[in-house]
Amino acid sequence: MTHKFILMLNDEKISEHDIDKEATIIGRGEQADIRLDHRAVSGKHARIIRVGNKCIIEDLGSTNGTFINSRKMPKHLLQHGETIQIGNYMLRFSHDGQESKQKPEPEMDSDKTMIIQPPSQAKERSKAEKDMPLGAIQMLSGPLTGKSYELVNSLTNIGKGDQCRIKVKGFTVGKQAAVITRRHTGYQITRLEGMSKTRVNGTALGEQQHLLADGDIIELGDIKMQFFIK
Amino acid sequence: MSIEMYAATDVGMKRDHNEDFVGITPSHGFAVLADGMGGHNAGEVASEMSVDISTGFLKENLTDLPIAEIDPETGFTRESVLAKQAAMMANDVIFNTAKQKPECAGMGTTLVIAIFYGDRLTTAHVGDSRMYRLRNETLTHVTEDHSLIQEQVRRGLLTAEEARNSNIKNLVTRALGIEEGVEPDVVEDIVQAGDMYLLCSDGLTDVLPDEAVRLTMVEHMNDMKKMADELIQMANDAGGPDNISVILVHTKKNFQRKKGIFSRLFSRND
Repeated sequence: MTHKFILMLNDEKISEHDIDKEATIIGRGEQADIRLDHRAVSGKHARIIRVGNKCIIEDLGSTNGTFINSRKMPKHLLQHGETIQIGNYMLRFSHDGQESKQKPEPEMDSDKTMIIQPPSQAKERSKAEKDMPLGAIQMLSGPLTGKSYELVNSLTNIGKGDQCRIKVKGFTVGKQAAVITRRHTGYQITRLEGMSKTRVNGTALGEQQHLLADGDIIELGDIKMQFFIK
Repeated sequence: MSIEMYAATDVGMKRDHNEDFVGITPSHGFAVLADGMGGHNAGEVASEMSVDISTGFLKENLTDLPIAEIDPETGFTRESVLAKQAAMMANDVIFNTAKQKPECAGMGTTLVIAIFYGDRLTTAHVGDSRMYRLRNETLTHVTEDHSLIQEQVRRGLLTAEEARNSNIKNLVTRALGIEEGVEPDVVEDIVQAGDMYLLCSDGLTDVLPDEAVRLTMVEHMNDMKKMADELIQMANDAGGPDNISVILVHTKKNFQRKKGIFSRLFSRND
């Protein structure tokens, strides 16, 4: 199977590049395999990694970013026909499935686990994750109406028990009725115990955890509260 | 007041050696699982080191620790902070060993640490080994893989089923021992009596869909050994392309660590 890029500038085709190496660098610098001469392109802007018959594009921490189908992506598994935008260049990705029958690729040991993260990227990513958004809960009814709780802890429990950070009274409310856990991907709420069901935007929580979105209304017993991102 | 743990590991059908490593420490309520990779047979060095180092570190530091005290700086419990430190320490040692010994160059490992204390649990993980929770016959992912394919699933570009059938599912975006410093994902959650937790390497989950894992767990709720054996057998029946490891943790009631002599003598709670 051959993979190639058609390089285009202002809707005009400039050149074609076969992706025949394990790693192909795109950038303005001299080490780049595909050189794009434009000031919005970084020296080493992005690279294409070939894994078996798949291609992955990875932004190498460029100043202006790599866009796939108009979305900025740090990393992306390329599909036939997708367009990569770097600076004012467009690269159209295509792979020709026909040829693979005549020239079978050496079989990759796809069960072998491999690591693809370049070190510089890991640092950037972990920095980004440290800046995860802070959520809060504000009481919309009951004796504590208006009070808000910042969800700084990794875990915040809701219920009538003494150990709960957000207290909700009520005969049917569990001691620990629900828990909100903080993750890199956001805040998740899980129901735990009690006859009174915890509802999010009117829907009772099932056994699975639920990812909270900014503005979600949480109801427990006759108390309403709102989740928001600060 | 008890948790039960059971660990099993199997070489699988296609590999000639096992690069997974598992460790359980029921007295202190924690379990560690690692899936090594890279280098000429050095993957198993990395996975064993990561389990040994984190187990030693956690044992030493958990012994006299008050249960679930919050570290005001991070908002995590002290146990979570320790789990993170354990993973980072293992990373340092593996990374330095790989630099010094040519036969270990390029080795790395995934790691999952699960600590149970009071009615809580902390999970710290790096890579694509996983932890699941079975509660009331519902199976939930506790961890989220650090893999390229998981990033695609998160963005909605692939379904979970497509991800399992992809041929790039084994590309991990984070691992221990590859570079200086590592950022483990740490999550805390509430444990309920009757929960069953499963820690496993990708040798299990690459070949078995979640529903097959769930049904097997539900069927053998009363026998952890049978549950573990059956899960491994199913992965082998499906081809067993990789090493398969499982650790099961069954919570009966809130778990309290055994206290060390020092705190037994001086704790006011006793």
